[in-house]
Amino acid sequence: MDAARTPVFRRLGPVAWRGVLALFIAGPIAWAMLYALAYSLGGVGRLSSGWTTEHWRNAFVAPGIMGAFAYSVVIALIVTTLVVLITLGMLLSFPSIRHNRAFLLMVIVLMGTPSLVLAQMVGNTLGQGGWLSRLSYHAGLIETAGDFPALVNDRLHVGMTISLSLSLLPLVLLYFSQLWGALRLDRCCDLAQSLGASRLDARLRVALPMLIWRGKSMMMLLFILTIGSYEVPLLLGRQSPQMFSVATQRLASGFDLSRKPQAYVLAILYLVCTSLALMLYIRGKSADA
Amino acid sequence: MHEHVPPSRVLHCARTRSWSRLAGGVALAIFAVPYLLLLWLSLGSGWSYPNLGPDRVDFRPWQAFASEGNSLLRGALTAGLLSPCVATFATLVGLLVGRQVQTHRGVWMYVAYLPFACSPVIIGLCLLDLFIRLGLASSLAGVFLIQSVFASAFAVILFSELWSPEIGRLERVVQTLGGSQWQMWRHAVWPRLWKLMLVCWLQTLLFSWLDYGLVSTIGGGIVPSLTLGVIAYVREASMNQAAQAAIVLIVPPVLVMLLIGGVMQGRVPEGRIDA
Repeated sequence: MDAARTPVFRRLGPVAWRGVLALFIAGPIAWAMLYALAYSLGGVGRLSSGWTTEHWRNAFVAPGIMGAFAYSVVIALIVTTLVVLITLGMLLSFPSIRHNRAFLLMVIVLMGTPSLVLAQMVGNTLGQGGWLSRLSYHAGLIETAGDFPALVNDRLHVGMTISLSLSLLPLVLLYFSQLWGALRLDRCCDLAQSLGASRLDARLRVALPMLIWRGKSMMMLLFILTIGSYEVPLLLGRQSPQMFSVATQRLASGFDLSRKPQAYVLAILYLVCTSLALMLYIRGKSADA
Repeated sequence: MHEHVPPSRVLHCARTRSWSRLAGGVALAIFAVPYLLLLWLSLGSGWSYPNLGPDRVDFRPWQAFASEGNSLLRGALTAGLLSPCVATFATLVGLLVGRQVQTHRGVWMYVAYLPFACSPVIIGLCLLDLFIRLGLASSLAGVFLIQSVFASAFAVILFSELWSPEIGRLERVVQTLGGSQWQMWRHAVWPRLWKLMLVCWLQTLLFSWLDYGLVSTIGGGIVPSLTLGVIAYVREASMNQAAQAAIVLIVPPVLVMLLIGGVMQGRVPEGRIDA
């Protein structure tokens, strides 16, 4: 902190931090957006023959692009809903779980487990050749591995949804249990009960609305984090449809160079979608503060 | 916690405690299965169908890992060197910039959040061309730079969210009492902030250690990384090597999370929780 003592630094301070933010953090992202936009409009790229809206028009017809967009949004919505429902369900049914040591240990270990390894573990356990399938075989429930229901790389994306939910669950569980304490919901419920509400009423009509109201921005964050997930869909997803990140990566580095601009169409769609969600998130958060 | 706990509630608590302990134990046992399976698989070779464990327990993946010139070991060492550098750099940026962002908020807040919200792999793909032109693609320097962007953004957010106005007031007290800049830092800022700095350092360390999207695009497969190894092994269905690599990958984050849990004493390590 030697530099902080000199007056030059102090005068430069306001410029310096804005400069760092603008050049070092916003710069790369802005460059990425502009590059993607230029590429998708034919402005750059080795095979491009001048500016054109052809790739955008193609993208709306080609099944992979709009499919990936709709599919990512749907998966993100499902995972967000699932994670929030599980968290609220657990907290509302057993509020004292917040102080349970085993529970805290599980949450912390799960938080330290990267989504990549989670996907691998789900594959090892739930896959057709996985551990549960082997257990069912030994128990005489199935004859061959093929009899076990497909839960990984499957049509309904069960394995992927489970992995994504598990990777986000610890964050949300910790957030909502902290919120439960911060809002003093135990006392609110006690008060409601002493005023004649039943236990169910106190939790559903006092605690639940408060948690949802204050947890809105967290749900937005969950949506943002899920829609950009990469490793889990890469390992447990199907060839088609694909999530944003996977589809973009495949199109951008695939052998068919003529489809490369479409990767950037997808990137732009993703970036616009996330930016809007982020705006909502920040607005919600400042309203909470 | 509760100053006036009704007696009925105490009894109720005592009765449910043994049940909750039992339920906790059962849940913990189920929870541990995939982790133990990973460990078990990493100890041997082969995993043909009806066997619950590896075909032979011969420690081959670990022997291969320890042998010289192993790509996974190189990946682990590279990430092990790279991530502390990224974490230190990002924590410094966060420390210097985060406070300003908190006081100014508005559009700067949005800017700081942008990399946090964007998928690293998509940003990596869009920046690859620039990095190739700058001669930074497929190099350690390039990976360091791009990881630092994301890690710094995270650090800025962390510091801007958790920087309490109390520190500013303490600083003014030290100043009024005639303290120098160094004393202000030493007595007002450091005692309030060292935990946060540690948490920030550890979190950014983990970000860099676990990063796959950036190292696979900007690193281009030239810069070795553990995550690249795990994905490659899973894809070629070498379950034992994949399990072994996953264990090497997972140990630091789990230890770090336990450490953070200890440092924060039950507080959430990420994001501000209004008290």
